[in-house]
Amino acid sequence: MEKHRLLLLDELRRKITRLETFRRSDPSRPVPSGIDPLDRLLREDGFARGTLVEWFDASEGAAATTLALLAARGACVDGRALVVLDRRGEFYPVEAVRWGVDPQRLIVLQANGRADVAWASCEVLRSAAVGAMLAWPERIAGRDFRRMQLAVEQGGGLGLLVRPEAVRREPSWAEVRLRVEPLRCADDARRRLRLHLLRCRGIVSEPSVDVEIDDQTCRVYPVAQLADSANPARSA
Amino acid sequence: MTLAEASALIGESMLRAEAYDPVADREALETLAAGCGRFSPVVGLEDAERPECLLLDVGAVGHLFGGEAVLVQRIVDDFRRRKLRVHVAVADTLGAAWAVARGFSGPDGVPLLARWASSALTDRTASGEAVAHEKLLDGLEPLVRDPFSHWAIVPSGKTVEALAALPIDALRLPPEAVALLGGLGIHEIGQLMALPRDALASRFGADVLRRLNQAQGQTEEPIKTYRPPAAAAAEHVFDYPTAHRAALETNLRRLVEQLTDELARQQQGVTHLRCEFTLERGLSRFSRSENGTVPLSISRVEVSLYQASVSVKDLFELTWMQVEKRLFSSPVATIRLEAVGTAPLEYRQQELFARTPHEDVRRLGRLISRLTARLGRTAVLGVRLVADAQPELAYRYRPLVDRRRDRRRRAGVMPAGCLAIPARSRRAGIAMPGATAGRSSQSLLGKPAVAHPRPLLLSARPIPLRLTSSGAGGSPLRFQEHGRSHRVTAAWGPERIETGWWRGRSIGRDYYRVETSQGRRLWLFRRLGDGKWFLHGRFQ
Repeated sequence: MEKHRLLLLDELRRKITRLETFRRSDPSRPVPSGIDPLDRLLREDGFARGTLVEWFDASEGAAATTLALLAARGACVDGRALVVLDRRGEFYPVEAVRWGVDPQRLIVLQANGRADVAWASCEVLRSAAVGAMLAWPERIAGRDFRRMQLAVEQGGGLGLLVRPEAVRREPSWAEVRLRVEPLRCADDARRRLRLHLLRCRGIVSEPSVDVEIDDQTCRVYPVAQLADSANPARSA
Repeated sequence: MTLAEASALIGESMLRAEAYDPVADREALETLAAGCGRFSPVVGLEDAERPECLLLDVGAVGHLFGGEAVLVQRIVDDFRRRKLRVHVAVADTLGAAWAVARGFSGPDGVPLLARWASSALTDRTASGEAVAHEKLLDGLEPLVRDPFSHWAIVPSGKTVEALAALPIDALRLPPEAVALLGGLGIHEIGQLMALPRDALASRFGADVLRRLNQAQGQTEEPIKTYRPPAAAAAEHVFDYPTAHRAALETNLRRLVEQLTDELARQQQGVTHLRCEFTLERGLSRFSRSENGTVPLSISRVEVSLYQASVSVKDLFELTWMQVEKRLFSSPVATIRLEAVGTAPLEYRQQELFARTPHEDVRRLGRLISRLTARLGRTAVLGVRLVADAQPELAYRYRPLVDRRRDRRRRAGVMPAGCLAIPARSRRAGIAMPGATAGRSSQSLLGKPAVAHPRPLLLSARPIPLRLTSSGAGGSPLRFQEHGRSHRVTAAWGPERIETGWWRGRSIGRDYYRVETSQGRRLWLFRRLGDGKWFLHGRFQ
């Protein structure tokens, strides 16, 4: 009886997933997140095109922006543009270029006012010439959020929203939600993080992976690969 | 010259590199063509994908200026006043004028004039109008009155001799034909002329024979006259002023259709559109605006586009987007639409697949135009990296839709340039040497300015901090930001950044990457002058 119930639930889950994802413009080419263990966790080996992805910093400065930029870079490798919606005027393009963003394909929008920001977000996400949009919105009205989701579905890019932990409980139209928690790391060129996959279609639990960002080489490694070199494996 | 070579020659800080812009080049050349109307009634651009040469028919006008030499000198002076280098040649045929004008500088940059003149014009007959050439012939003195512009007049009937010593690529041949001829040891036009004419087309292609015949005047080659596009404008006068939205919308759309029809016939597209609504009331009041003093009775909307367009849908939407935000204080009496800026349309063949780079460029251009129309020029920005040690000065934002750049383009500012003048009717070719070489196809854009990690979020103005405790070597241990206390658990540095006095206001800073007890990674610096601390960025 219990087995039958689990099978039924599994079947229903698959049907819901099919219904929810059939409208995607290009389901065949997911965008790699740039983090191998995270790609393995995501059901499609990366972020599905035409979706919104939310990144939450567990505490300020937890590197969610860096990881979102990594995904944005992956979404723009085919030559499409990266649009950064920078309301505060704090985005530092020099570092983004160091991380591999093509400055000739980088557009920075300094919009202000809720209506203009919401309108610009939808316009950008709706354009097929845009590979990814990176923004730091705090509150997003439900109607605006839904419009953004429809727009990104139409455009086929990736909407990357880096948001504070305080709004994590609010309703969301993002297909993938991730929480970035900083861990202690004694190395100045590396940042150690724990990534919690809060939402991803087809995944019920909230799995997590530990990774390290190497700021010097601009790469992200799974923590397990960086075994302490001071304790080499014993030889036979 | 590559960007790296230029940088090594003059220093990276002095180097300003811009992406090659063929549209701007063509616009500038068209401006110059319009300006040459004072020298000849027939002025055209060379028939090439990327023209670099102006063509003038001077056969019937030389005597009006006191001779061809005087005419050429006036042309050279006119270009010099524009701070442009120019090569001018007058010959019996368009092809010969082009060849001689281009032949002034060979592929290695060495002027070919002396070689050409010594071999081709030794037996020329002196006339009153070619005094300068006599000097050249007598002692091979440089014909150059300014060190960068050159000019030459091929005497009537001496076209073959003039062409004989010029390199084969002066015939406007495709590169493959030049390579083929070069491979057979044919490097000069004289060698080609010596070959049997009947076999040229079959052995080297029809282009070779056609160009050779054109240069020698055996095939006619007319100049396609350039006519500057007339200012395009359309106006609607309401019988009865109206504030009715549907009436305004309908008539504005109709005006856009009229305007674009007219421009499309000229193969031009709109880059800057101005729409004026004359209101029924307020005629006696005036206001100052970006474009001067305008009556308050006129409500003006300006639309700048990233790419030239004649799409009625796009232009109407961009204009209406701004009109919608306005509340007219009285009914509208007239609507006037004017294409203030235009550029040649770039036609693309319909691609087999929808997702092509051209399609993406078009889509991106439309997006940028729409964003600019609603958010304003200064809100839609591109990035240029700058080689500057000071972090906040290591990049520049520039509006992607730049009206000033458009104006500069229309003013015809070019780094250097060639003018060819042919003559059976005598003709002239004006070539612009370095017209493309002055703009680099490479740019500094793709070059990372720094190797050290920097924060992704940087405050435009560093935020002052109060350091409450510091460790050995002066690294921060505890500080206050906006009244909140932070404990530093790890600090790395310092990384010293100093700028030279020659750059103007110099700075000296010791930067530290710190991690606080809350796990934040920040970028702080201590100002060397007074020891004050600042928060400059956040690693996020």
